[in-house]
Amino acid sequence: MSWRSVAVVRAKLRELGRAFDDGFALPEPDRTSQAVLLLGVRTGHAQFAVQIADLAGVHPSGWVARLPGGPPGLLGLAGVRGKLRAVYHLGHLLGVKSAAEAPRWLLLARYGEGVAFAVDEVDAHLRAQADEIIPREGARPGERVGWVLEQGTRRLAVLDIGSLLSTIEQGAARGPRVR
Amino acid sequence: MRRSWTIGQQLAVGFGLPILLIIGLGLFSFRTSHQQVDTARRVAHTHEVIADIVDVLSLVKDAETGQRGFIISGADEFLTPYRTAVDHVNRELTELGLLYASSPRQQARFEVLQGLVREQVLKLGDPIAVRQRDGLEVAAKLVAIGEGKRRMDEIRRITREMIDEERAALAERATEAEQAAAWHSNVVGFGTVGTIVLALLAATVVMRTLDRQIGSSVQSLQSASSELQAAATQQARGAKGQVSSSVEASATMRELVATARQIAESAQRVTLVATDNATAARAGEQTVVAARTAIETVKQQVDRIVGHMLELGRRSQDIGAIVDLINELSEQTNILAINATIEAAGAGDAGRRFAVIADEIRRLADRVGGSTKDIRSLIEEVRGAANTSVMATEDGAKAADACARQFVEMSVSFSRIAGSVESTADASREIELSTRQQSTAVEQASTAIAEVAQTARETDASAAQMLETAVQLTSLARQLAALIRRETAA
Repeated sequence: MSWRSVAVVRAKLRELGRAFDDGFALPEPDRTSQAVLLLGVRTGHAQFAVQIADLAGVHPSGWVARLPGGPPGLLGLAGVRGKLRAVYHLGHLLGVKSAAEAPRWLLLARYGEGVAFAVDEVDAHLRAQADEIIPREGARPGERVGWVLEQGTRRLAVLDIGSLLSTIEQGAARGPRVR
Repeated sequence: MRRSWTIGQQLAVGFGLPILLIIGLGLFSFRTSHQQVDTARRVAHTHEVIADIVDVLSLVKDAETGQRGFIISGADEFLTPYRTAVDHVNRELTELGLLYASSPRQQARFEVLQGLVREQVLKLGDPIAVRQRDGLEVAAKLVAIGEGKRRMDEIRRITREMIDEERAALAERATEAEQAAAWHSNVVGFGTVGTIVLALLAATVVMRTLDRQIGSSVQSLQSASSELQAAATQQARGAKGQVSSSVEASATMRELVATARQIAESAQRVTLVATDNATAARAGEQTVVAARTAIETVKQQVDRIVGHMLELGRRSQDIGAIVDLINELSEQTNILAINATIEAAGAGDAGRRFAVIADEIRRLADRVGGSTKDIRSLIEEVRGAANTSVMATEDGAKAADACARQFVEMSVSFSRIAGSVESTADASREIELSTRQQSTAVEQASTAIAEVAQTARETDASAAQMLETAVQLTSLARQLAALIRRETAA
């Protein structure tokens, strides 16, 4: 390792230490502010944002038992915190071309008991103001991507977990796939 | 094939045959003269023998006459013949005996005659003594006995026979002398005529033969002298051209000598340069060997560097694994923080402060994750740099190997160069030696050409002299031919 890399690592360590120390020096956040917490996820080559309020947790994607003849997007069943959850591929549900490797993370839906969405990466924890989440142009009510997060140069589609759950329920109501 | 006789042989034969005949005639004449002399000597001998016989007989007669005169007269003066005969008879007999030594028959007669004569002379003294002592009558009686007369008759008979035989021999020798003289005359006469005829014949034959041969030779001499004159003329021209060419060749050889010396000096300089080059090549070879050793050392150092770089790569992988671990931990921490945030959000106001802590944890996890990404990037850079260094070092090692091989090849090349330069030095030395020898040879050749030029000048002079001689020879041949024709015509 060159002296330059050592210097960079030492600078990073100093920066981490300073940021950690500064964290204790910052004032408490404004509890009255109506900030919206979002989670940036990626499936395939597409990035989306999901409101943390719609999630019950994030869990590593372990072993998924496949269910032959299940609805479109259903990868199978997985055991999470002692409960069985139906794991759906988020990209498949959104019509996005998925990556070759298996999804790494499962997003547990807060209001849909027993449903989890498999994503490739959880790559951002976002805090947005209410006015930074705007309706998507041309979006119809109940659509799965009806809102857009615009934060500076960042522009992410905000998924409607409820709409996704409705779609799953509708698919489950139509019954199993016929090959 | 007809044998051609030389002039000497012809002259020898032409003069030799008459000379042989003359010699034969001379020998014959000498022999004949010698025989005639011998015959004359024998005739003289015969005459001498006859004279001696007559002398002996005459002495005996004188003795008898003196005896008778003394007996008759008694005077002593009559005894003088007697005493003379007594004194000389022995000497005469001795001389006569010597003359008959070669004839046995006459020797026998002489012996008888000698006895009778001695006895007669001795017995003649008896009557003389009787006369002196006893007187005439006694002495006359003694003489009358007739004994002396008988001896005297016998002496006369023997002497007559001896004289007759001598005369017969004398007649025989006269006949032989006449025959020998006639034979000598015939031989000498016919021999002389034959010799003259043979000499004339040989002279004629020799003259004709010489005329024919010398005439042909004179014609050949004329032709040869003409050709010799032409050849001498051509030789004179050739000698002049040879003189000119020799002078030019001598000048060229002098230039060649100068050039050869320059070449020898150049070859000597080349030898010195080649020697310096050989020394330099050997120094270069030693330098290359040292450089090759240094390259081997560099290669070993490079191999060590490659080992260190590979170790650095492995250590970077270890660091990367650690960083992956930290990243995994930060990611899991982030997930836990997110879940804490979710739980805090579900807890309402009670979870707000917990949400703050969870957010701090999440941001710390984010910062750690970002830092691990930077560190990973750095490690990747280090690994890339290490790999690049390894590859560069391997390239360096390969280059060092190639350089070492090139140095080996260079060393071999330097060895070859040194060998070639030494060969060049040897060759240049040989060239120098050869050029010096060549220079010496060219100098000798130049000297020889100068001598050739001198010889050509002498040849030119000789050619001129030979031309003059050829002209004189041609004139002489004409004169000789004219002389032969005139003599032949005569």
